[in-house]
Amino acid sequence: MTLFASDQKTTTSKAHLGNKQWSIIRLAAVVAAAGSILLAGAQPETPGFAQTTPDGKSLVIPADQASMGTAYYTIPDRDRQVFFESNAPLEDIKGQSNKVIGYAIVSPSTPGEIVAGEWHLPVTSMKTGIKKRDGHLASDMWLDAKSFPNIVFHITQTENLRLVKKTASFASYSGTLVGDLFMHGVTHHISIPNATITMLKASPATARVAKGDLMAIRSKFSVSLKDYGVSHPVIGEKVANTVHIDVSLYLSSEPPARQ
Amino acid sequence: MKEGIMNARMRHVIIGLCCLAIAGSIVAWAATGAHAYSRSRDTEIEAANASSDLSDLFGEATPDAAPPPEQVESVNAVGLVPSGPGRESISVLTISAPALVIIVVMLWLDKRTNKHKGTNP
Repeated sequence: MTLFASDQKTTTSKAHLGNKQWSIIRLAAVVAAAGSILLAGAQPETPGFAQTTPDGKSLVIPADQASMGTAYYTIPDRDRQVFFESNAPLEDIKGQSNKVIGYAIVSPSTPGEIVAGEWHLPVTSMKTGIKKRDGHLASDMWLDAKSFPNIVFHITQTENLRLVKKTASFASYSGTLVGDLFMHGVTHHISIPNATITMLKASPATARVAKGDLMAIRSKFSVSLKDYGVSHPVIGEKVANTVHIDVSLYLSSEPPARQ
Repeated sequence: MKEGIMNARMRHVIIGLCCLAIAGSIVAWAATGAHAYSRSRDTEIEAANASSDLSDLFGEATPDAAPPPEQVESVNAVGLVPSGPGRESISVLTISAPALVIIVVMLWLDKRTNKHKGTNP
């Protein structure tokens, strides 16, 4: 009897232990799921970038942005679009690219006002005149082109827009471009003051250069490499932490595929 | 009289050639822009630098705009130090260092031969 009672107790205990194990497994699963969700939330924020068109010469404009105004498309592979300069005590580095793709949406009510836009600068397209240095720039020690192939500027609005000059053929505006700059996996909200936006109506003179109404965006700003998680022992000696950037983007109302 | 590995005239010719190579690399460095690193031409930079129709068009529209920044050079240049394989490996350092080593070896051989001459007339 005692033995039976003992067996029964053991059986009950075994069954109880089984339930406990199941509970632990369930609890572990819940903790793991919650952990995954939390970890996913802790990842660096990656904005939803616009997709590249099949020909690789532009970006697909999201429908919500396309409806905001007139689309202008960046004309790549022509004039230099981005120039950057690093002035460090031991070395001055100058580089450039003409491979920027993207678009700007101009307000239908306020000429020259960019209400949305996005540009992608491929990291591997940045040329400094020394091929090995270009390779270093794209390596994981610097901008890590494998993980973050593009430097992306996502413009959200134009502030302090004012007309600078207007003639029958063009209008030039000055304003502050506001948006998010994504580089090396890090996004910062930035404002670029004193940007120049020039609009040129299509004419026989412009048609010789590019189809459609044309637009130029010129701006200068600086970027701190450390702010974007780029750290290297030579920063401050051979490469300056602050890189000066000079942008001259030329856009057309006709997409590159129709140029 | 028995000479060592090579005769004195040959050694002096080699020393002279090495000195010429060092001097030539320095002249080439100075003549190609006195860059710190060796460079070779980049067709993508050249294409971007050559294209200016869009900037010219907008330059006419905004003549008071700030001048564009200077261009990134795309040149074949001998630097003080190499910057990569191929053409970019040709530099004052990569030419002068082996030349200096050869000069030192030749001078050492010269000295050794002269010493032998002194001990075994």
